[in-house]
Amino acid sequence: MLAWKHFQLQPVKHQAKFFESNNNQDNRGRGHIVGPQSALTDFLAANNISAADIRRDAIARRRAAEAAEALGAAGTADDQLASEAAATAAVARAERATKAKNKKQEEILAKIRASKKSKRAAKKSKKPDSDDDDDDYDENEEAKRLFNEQYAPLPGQLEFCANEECKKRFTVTPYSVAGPEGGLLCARCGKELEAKDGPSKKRKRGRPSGSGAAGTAAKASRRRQVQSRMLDGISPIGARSLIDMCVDVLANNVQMADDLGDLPDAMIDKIGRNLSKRRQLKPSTLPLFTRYEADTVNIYDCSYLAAHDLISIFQKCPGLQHLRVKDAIFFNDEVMEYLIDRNLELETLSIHGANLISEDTWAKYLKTKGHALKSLKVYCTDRHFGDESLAYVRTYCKSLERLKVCNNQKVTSQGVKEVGYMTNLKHFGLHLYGNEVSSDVFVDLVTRLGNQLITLSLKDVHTLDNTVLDAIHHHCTSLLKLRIMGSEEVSDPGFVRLFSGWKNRPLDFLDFQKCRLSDSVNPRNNTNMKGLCSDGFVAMMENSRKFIKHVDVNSCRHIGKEALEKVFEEGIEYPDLKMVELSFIEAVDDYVVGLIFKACPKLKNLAVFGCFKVRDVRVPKGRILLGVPTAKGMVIEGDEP
Amino acid sequence: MAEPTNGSQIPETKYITLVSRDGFEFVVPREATKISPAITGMLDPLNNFKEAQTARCTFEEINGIVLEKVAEYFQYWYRNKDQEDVADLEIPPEICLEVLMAADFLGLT
Repeated sequence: MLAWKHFQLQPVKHQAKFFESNNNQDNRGRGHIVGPQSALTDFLAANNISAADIRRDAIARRRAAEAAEALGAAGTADDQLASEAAATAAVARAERATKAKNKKQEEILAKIRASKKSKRAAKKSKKPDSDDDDDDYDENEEAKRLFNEQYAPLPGQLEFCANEECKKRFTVTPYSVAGPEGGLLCARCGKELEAKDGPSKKRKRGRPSGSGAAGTAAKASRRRQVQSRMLDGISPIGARSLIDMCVDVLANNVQMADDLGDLPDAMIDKIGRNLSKRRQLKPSTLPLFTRYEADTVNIYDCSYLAAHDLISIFQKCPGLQHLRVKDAIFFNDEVMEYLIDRNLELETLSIHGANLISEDTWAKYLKTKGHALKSLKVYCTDRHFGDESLAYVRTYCKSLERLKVCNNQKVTSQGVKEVGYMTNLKHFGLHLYGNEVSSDVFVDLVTRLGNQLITLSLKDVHTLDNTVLDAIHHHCTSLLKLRIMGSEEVSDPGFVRLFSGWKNRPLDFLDFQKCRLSDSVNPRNNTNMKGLCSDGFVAMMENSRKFIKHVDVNSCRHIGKEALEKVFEEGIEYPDLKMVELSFIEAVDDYVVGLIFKACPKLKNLAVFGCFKVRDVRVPKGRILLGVPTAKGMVIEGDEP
Repeated sequence: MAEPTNGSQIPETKYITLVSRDGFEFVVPREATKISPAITGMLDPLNNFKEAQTARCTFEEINGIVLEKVAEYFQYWYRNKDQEDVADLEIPPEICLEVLMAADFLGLT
């Protein structure tokens, strides 16, 4: 006891010394000095919970346990007597606690019984002639069941195992199993019971799960899956294709596959895409795609592949001509040197994220193998692959037809000028970060290459202006795909001039997304007609009506309702149009969406994200309307066309 | 104007028979095979194939086990044509590569 006193008194003394000067007028501890009380202490006192009692009980329990141990071991008689006394005291206290608990339980049970009784009596009074068929109704049982359900300890609380032979104290978790006689079982007894009876039904807590939280979660998950499939362009109605299902099964069991056999390239590509999407393209699965006879290898996720894995592609495919690697972080100098040394001459190289290749190695590669390249796409190389590399491309890749430089921070105006001298170039795509290239450079490029360009894609060239559009109008005669994205200096009259009386054949791919006035203070006040507005949109659609397949005017917010109605009015048909993106154009509403579905017989996808006037539109079967702002989403009706 | 072909004189049957390389036969509704452009082409009387007259398609490249799965898919596709949120067909991983090959051949994209 002395030790305990020492333990308890020490902090009080210390507090007293510390607070003596401030708290000597405190009324709470009249007679002896105490420290200040916290809100918690006040709360505990108000609820009749005493920390001292809890501590005393805990110490007594500990002493009782020690005493029991001491009893087992050989000890002195005095010690035994002392510990026996302590043990008896602890047992007595425990008994008192159990009695109190039982009493409380009995009270609650009585309450439940009473309420049940009154309910039954009320029921009887309503139907007085009904037989009392509840004679054998065991109200005690029922009350006990209700008590167990309602007053079962919550997870995190301590409870004694309901198994009579175990009685072990354990922490209740949401997975604790109920015993056959009521109460909860500890983890070991629960496991034994499940092994004996088979897994029991999940214990319900609170509201039933079928209609409650679990049901809602399952519904939400299904809804998300449907939305995800819609974004992939798969209609939410009808079965999936057999090929897609097979590819899924294969991807799920890819560890079982040793070889993909002689599947056609398109199927192998599908499997590759699926595996990459699941991040399962690893050194172990790579051999499925590096077949000896393959001339095309597309690896859409190289993030798990090291340099030697990438080298193995060249070792295993001696006839490789087309290589596409994405997230190819380890496609470094070592791999490039290997490619240079091998007797491989790639026609197509599409490389993404390979910023460990130095300028010197690029130069070496382009010098030795550049003559065979017909298509070169370099994505996400940060501050690598700059103007010098483009100069080498111009000098050594004489047969290059397709060049794409995306997400690049190193290329400047000088590099873009070099592109203008690539005599065979037919497809050009550019997306630079940081370095602004002036419109004059693009005017020069279009003037030189205009008559041979089939694709022109310029992303995020903010300063691009109408002079470039005019140059395209004058010099481009073979364009099929035109993308000018995120340019704020182009204006509506420029677009009208571009598409009016153009010698070029009708285009099949148009993308002018984010060509709009970006003034956050006065977004609607577009007096200078910046960006693509109504007239430009009408001119563009009129020009390309015959062959257009893909239209993206996302965020061109100044296209008006009249223009949309005029473009898609009844009687006008866009026979090949498959994809229309009209997101964030305020004027798009139910009527316009209806007109679009009528005017485009082959339309697959229509995106209207952020068009809040689209409320309740009926979507013909087989089409997909993305981004409906209501909770109801897309409502489908009718049969497939 | 050419004479009408033999195929166009024969009335369309409601069911057709798919025959595998090893001689297994599966009778499926004609409507259910519309998902496959290859089979639709074979059965089109205008193409004047023998299959259009006999309503029997023999696949020398596909064995019985795989063709059974394909026939099951036709049935599954037809049954779920207008259903929303359709559960996937169960395909055993052992035959999935062969089914994939057959699906590609029949154009079940």
